[in-house]
Amino acid sequence: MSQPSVDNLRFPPPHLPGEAETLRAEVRAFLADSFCAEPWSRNSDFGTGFAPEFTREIAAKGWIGMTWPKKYGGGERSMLERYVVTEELLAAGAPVFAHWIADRQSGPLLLRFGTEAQREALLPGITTGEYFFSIGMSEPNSGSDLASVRTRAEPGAGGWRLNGAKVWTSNAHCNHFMITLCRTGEAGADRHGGLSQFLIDLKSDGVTINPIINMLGGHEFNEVVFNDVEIPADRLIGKLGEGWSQVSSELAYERSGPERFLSNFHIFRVLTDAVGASPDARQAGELGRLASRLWTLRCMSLSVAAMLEAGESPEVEAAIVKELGNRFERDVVEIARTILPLQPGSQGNSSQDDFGNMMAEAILRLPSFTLRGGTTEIMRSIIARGLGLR
Amino acid sequence: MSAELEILSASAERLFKDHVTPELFARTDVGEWSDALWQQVEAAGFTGAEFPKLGMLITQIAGRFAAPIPLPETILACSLLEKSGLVVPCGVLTIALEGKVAISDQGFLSGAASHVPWARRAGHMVVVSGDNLALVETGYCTVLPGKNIAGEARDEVRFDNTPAVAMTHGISWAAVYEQAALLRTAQIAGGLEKILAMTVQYAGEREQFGRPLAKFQAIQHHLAVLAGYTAAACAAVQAATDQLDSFSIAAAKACASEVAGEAAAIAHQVHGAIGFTAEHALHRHSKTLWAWREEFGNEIYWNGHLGARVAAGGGDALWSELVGPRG
Repeated sequence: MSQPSVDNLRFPPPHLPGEAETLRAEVRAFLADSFCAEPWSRNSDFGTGFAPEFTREIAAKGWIGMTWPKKYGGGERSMLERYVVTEELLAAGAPVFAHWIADRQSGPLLLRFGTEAQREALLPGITTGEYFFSIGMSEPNSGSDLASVRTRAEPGAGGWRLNGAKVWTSNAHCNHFMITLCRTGEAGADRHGGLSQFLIDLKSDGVTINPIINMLGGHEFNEVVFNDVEIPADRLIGKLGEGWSQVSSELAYERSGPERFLSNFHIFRVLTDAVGASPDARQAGELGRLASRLWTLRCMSLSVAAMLEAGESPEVEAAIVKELGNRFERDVVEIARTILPLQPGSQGNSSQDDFGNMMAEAILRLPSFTLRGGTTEIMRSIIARGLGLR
Repeated sequence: MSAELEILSASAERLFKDHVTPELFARTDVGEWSDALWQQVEAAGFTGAEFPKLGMLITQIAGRFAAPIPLPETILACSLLEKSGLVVPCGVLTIALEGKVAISDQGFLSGAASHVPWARRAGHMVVVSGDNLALVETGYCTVLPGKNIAGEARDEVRFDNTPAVAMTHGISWAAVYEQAALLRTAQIAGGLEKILAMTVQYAGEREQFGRPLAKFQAIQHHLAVLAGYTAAACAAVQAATDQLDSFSIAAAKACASEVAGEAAAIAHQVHGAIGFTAEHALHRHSKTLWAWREEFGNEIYWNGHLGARVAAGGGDALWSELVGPRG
């Protein structure tokens, strides 16, 4: 066993540059105008609002791919500036899902491992809000045990031929591309060998997208089946057989962001108004409890953004943010229902934004938060490894 | 951390490691004063460490060792006196912020201060009441000994028209209380770092069912949660030291106080019965966590403040309260 290490527990506070605060004011002003022009249903869960028109407005402001090189349509701004934009979008409850995955991880993955031709072909389309991406990791028999994926690419005419299926693929029916993890060789002793990543055009022949209706009755998830899908050779991302380490490098981006603790911020905001300016002692204490925990999580998450900016790979720190953040998201709802009794659901002619409706939706979405992007159990295992226990 | 801070941090770590020993606790447990430790700390210049930056760093390290001396109190007293332009007396200092104490404009004190850390050992104490700050010689007061759950001296101090050595006006009691809370937060963070390290080490050494506890997934997950709590408290104290405003200090003390009890419970659970013995060192650190989480405002106190503030601002101001710019 390696030495216990608590070095992964350091979250030094970064200093936001002056430009970041100027940018924050700009984002707030934009969001206020945009909301007035065409109000959206304010939901801070990044996975709820799929709005290509709004995404293109964000793109026009230069807020997609904003850290990327200018030659690919990026803004060459810092991870901290990107952080400010993303947290402001989420806090306002803006509909961001269309571009979220591409901006957060598909683009950075292509920048890191993609060929020049792939970057030139794809990144500009992401920054203009035209190309939307799906994640192709989970499979019907591979959830947390990602190394067990069975979707396989075999050499075929002019490249590769893909067979298998991915599942829980959010918005595959609306998106353009998927970056899929699949088997191209033998797993080897550590089970991490023989995996590769490919760019899949979701409109290709042989790709079938079957809806999976979630327990709210909504269609976000899909099963994506590959039946002899021909993949041109130039769609391999990075190196053949290096898929596992490439996927791992995405995780700090995927797990440390504000979307891992702000998903129910809209509930907190409306709860604050519903409690009113003269809370009783218990209400004040519980509102404060949410505020102190959220403040702490945000400090930690911002610190991880600074580590990413410095080129580090804070995988353990990201897992800590997600583990604590997901618990906080649940507590927002659990605390709300204890300090402001109500019947979650719709009453009479209540609007979609009424508190009872918002609570009902939040309660029903909660089980997914501790699963998506890696379960709480996987986060704890990663933290344990960081402590030298595994 | 800068190179200068790293050197300071390493030398503080070494000093406390060398001097805060089981033998020292054996003596302090029966009421002896840890004079040798105090002399070392004073000689190293830690008592006059600039607050907040250096003072918070030293305090967090002292917290890791549960050092049984009023070092944070002395650091704060020095800082308050210096900022008020008053002369800083030599020796052990402490601060009296709670209880009912009246300080007259002529500089006489009456009433009683409660939970004054190590008043019985302090030559002088800084008393803050309302917007007055008084420096008082402890010898002129009546000290009734008391202690917190960790056995640290927390005395009641009575004043009977007691003259101040020096005093100043225009002080904010609330601001001083926040500074004291911030120092306790650093101690809690240090205590959490310690119990995490102890628990990880123990889990690696102790074998049951033929393998180390650390190999059991249930134990790994306990430790991961403990690590998360520790990381949160450490991050909060660093951020609050950096931002140094009412909101962040309240949030940091509330957060650290809330996780302290959860963390101590996990550490004890993983240690099993040996951790419940007087002989094992774990209780030094769980007890200080249980003590410090209550001192200078527990999570109910500070969350209540934050909640009232958040509610008064309303939902639309909530996000700005959290990330700034604050209204």
